Amino acid sequence: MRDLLRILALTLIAVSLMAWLSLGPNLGWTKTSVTKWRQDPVTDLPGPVIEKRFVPGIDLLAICMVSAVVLFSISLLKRKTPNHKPEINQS
Amino acid sequence: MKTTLLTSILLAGLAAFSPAAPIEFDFKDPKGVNNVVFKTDAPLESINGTATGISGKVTFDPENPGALKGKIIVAASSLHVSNPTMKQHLHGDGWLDVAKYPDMTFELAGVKNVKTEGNTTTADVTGKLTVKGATKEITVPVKLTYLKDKLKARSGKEGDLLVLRTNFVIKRSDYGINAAKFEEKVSDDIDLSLSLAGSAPRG
Repeated sequence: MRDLLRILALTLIAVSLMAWLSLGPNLGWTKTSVTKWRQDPVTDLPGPVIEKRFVPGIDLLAICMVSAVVLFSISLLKRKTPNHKPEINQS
Repeated sequence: MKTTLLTSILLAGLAAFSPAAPIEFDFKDPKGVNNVVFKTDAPLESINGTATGISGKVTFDPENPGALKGKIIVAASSLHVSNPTMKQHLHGDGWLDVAKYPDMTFELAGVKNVKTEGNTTTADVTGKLTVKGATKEITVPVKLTYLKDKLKARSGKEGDLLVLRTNFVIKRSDYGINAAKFEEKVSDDIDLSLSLAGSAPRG
């Protein structure tokens, strides 16, 4: 159980960090859309084009990191499972 | 017959040499280019958003740009920010309450410091800005570009275009938008940039 929680905590850190780096890295809030600008050829005005895209922010990364710390802390509270070695009959 | 012909020629001549009449431009843009960009400071990152639900009509006289009048309307529900929670708060009753106050309007009341160079006019436009039911008179610098016969290139119809650009700052406290609240989180100053094109089809 202890090891499982620690593996989960490490996996959460690795996956969230990789996702944040590959989709951003966005130092602001999480976004579900991105605004791109296109120029109108006649008026020269920039017009917004809103694209649906998930960009994880520092808030989501922080939630994942805190969750990983919580999982690791729980693992510290769990007792280490004693190894049951077969008893050697010395008689 | 002779009199009718003479009258027609006279009328056509008068129309040709009479000063151009004011033209009414419709700012409802089917292309969705017309937009308002708003920016305000916040601790983690500045809050940037757009609004595209623009309508309204402005009357512009190319011979007398100072006689500008009209009204621009922005649908409050069209305000967009990239973070969904932030958008929900922005539209909610604590901030803009878009259900109760669906429109933000700017009604032109007067024009000063008009300068025209070629097809471009700059001026200080005074008008009544209404946001969340609160109205305040403000003066903003406006740049107008009159594009004669350019509507065809944009929508296939004969007519003119009027491009309007302006950038100014308002205080949210002036319009009762969470006045004196959350100033440590969201600045009182809101920077607004309007990029609009109005069309006036002929015939």
